[in-house]
Amino acid sequence: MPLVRIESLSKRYGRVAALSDCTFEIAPGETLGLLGPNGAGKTTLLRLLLGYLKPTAGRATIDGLDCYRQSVDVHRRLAYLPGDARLFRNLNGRQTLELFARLRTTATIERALQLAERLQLDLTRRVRHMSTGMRQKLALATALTPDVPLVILDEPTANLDPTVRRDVAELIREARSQGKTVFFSSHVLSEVEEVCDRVLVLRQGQLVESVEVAQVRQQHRISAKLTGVIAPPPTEVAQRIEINRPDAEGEIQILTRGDLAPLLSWLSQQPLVELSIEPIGLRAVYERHHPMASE
Amino acid sequence: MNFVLLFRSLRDGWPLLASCAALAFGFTWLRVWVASQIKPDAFIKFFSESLQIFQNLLPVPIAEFATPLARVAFTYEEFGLVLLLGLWAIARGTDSIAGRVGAGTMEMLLAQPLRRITILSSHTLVTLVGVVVIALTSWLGVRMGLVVSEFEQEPAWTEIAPGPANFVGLGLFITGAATFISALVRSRGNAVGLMIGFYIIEIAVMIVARVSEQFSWLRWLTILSAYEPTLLTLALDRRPEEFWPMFWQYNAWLFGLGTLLLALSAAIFCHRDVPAPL
Repeated sequence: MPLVRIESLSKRYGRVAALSDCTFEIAPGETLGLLGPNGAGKTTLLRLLLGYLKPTAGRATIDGLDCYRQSVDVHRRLAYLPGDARLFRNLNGRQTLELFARLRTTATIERALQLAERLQLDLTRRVRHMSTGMRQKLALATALTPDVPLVILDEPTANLDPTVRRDVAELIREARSQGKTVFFSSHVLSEVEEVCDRVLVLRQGQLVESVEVAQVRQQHRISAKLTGVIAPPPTEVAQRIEINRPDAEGEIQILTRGDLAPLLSWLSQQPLVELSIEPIGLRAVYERHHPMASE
Repeated sequence: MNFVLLFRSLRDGWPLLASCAALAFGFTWLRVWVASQIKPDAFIKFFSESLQIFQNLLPVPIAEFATPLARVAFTYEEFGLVLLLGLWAIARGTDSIAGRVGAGTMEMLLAQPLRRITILSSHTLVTLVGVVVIALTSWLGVRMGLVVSEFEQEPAWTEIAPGPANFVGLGLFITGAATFISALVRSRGNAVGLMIGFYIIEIAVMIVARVSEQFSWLRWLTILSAYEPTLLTLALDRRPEEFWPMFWQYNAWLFGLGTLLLALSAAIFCHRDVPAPL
């Protein structure tokens, strides 16, 4: 049974569709990434899951509970980090951690302090005197403190330096290894590819792609110059490749899926020179829907 | 009720509350002393010779207004004291929903397993306690003023009680109205602007209703008609049996409308979208 189930979920603001007819599921223990440019509907989708917004149509459930109507029970099962986390400005770091730890039965101040130490937080400083990155780290510590089955993070590494980004990726991996389900949005493709099992791509409020990262990792683009006539590949190989026609200069591209080993033996017998093989990666998947996007 | 939130709200609000309560105490103390310095005959003469329009603005006839009890009770109609109450109630009421949504702290709280009504009620309870504290400290200030001042016929401080009671009613109404506006809008700035605009219109309507016979019906359109601390104090002092119903009726309007607006605010907040912070 999926932990998260989204069925034809839509959110409209007047004539503007922030999210249209979105359907997908998240299995327990899965780490799911959400990609899309600004305005694609990522935050709207996450806020619908949190019950902050009332769906115009469709339904979202977590552990069988309606995200809008049973939001308190839903929140017992999840932790959330907003994209632009704002904390109480007059509290210092420790007071902030204590406040949020006391609001949950599944959170302890000891766990919060461990996370704070790991994220190198100065807990004596008041929130109003913290930099944006420091505040984001503090919010992240409050979000990851409770022991809950689902963690939802909206751009968790925005405003963070590369060292802390690495720590955040490590924390997400740890959560996954503890059997938690993680759902997070990001603009950083490499980070999503590194930690996620599956990735959803949103465009203009619509879910346009759902890909397994393991499959993406096994996709390659082979470029070479053709110096003769290419022989038809064996059936086993043919099922997993797509050969583009050579251009005017005789350069061809072969897109592959799955294990490269059987392909390489066939490839070595073809009249090809200047051959290069590169993994396609999430960037190619993303650019299919957002051609101008860059990390 | 969540005691963690309640304590948090109290800690957030106490500097403003302490300031308002201290100022209310000092203001009423000073105001009562000033009232003791006024000579009744000169006071009556001054108002009798002034334009009728000024006499109409007084809550009771000039002869009654010159009595020590009325002069002291009028403290609760002084702009300064009402401003302090408004400052507290509007600051807290507008912060309760729009302020926290705009600041982004609401979405951090709502991510916890807390009902929206719990978050709102913890904040509002502290606001209402603050209203009572300001009323009590102002009453204490009146008492101190009476102790250090000399009147031709000194009123007992308990005789002034209808004033602070009516004052609490006004505080509850302002809290309800500010919270209601806060539930409807997204930014605290808008909520404060709308609330101040509403209050100015209420005062303007009240003034027109009092000074113009032709437009006296306007008093039915302003809730400030139910805020009459001087009138209620004098009426209950003179003929309590006759005027208790009026006291309850006036306060029922303020308490009832304030409570209704708080209930509506809660209903709206529990069903509204919580947008991303500004």
